[in-house]
Amino acid sequence: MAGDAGVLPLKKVWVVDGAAAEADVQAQAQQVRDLGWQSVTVFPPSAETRQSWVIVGEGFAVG
Amino acid sequence: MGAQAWRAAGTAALMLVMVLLGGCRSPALVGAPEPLMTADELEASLKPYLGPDVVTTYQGKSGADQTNYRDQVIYARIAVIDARFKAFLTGLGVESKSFGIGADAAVIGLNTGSVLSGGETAKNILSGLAGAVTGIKGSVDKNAFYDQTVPTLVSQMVASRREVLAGMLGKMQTANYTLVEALIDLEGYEFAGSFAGALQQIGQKAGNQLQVAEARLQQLATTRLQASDVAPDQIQARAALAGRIQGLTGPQAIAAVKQAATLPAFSATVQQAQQAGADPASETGARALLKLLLSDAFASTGTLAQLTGIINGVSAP
Repeated sequence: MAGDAGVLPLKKVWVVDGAAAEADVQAQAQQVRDLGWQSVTVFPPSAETRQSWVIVGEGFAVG
Repeated sequence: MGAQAWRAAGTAALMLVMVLLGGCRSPALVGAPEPLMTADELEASLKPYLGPDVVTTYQGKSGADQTNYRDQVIYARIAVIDARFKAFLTGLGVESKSFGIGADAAVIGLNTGSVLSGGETAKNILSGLAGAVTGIKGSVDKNAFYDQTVPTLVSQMVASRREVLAGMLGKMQTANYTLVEALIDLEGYEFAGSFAGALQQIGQKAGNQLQVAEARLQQLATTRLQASDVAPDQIQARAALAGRIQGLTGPQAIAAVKQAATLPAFSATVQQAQQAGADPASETGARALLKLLLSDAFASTGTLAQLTGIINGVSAP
């Protein structure tokens, strides 16, 4: 990529305590987007997420 | 099969070639000359090879006679399927010349002629078809589907038909390829020239591409956050640090990444980002890496303080 604009093929998961307020989690997800993560998905607490909030970011922008 | 019927089949095949080659010489305008023989007429002339009794007839033969009969049935059915496909495209308003369909069908027609005359073997045709399949396969992607639905689907149909055809011609080089097996492949050949077949292929390709894309994603370490880590004051503190990162000069950003890469909390992420294509020696790359590290430093485990310390260090006068 050599410093040019582009998207790095990266993926990151943030697991947030299920007790966190939804508004705070959504604000955190927005910050993830602002930092450069291109695709950000928020999963609410459920049996599948073991009652935690899960934020998944995919593709990190460069430039 | 009598000599008279063979002459009829040969004439039909040659007429089909003439029609298709004639189409190739026509100007690249919408429309096509009136065909010398319609799909229905061609079908009528090849009727002996299209009936349900072909398998029984095939089983009643042996040796070279059986293989020859198998080939005749296959070529006859290919000719009819092609004629129907061309009529189908004409009905869609698609210029078959744009997709090289004339050339394909001409090859098949010539091959039919060669069987009748005992001339050119199918090996030469196979090599040409293999190149054509390679050329067209992979040129169809899912994004184009939304912009040019019909041309994309037709391109996929042509590519799929060529692939099935090449497979059949390859199998026909051996006597072990039974007529029943060939009839199944002919069903596949016909299906490849349908919207359903094209959509199936495109969907499958999209799925494969998604899997490849997923496999290429480098998974960074998962960060676990407490409810207090996503409280407004914490988010605001990180936003402030992001602003400071954005304000760094190029050399400052590069120096900061260099320092961070030496710390256990950040070294793995820097390394993975570099493997993914990030360039920590460029101003843009270094600044992006610092933001990436900031997204690693959400938890109240001291990483945010470490990153803040680095930024303070490089931006100190």
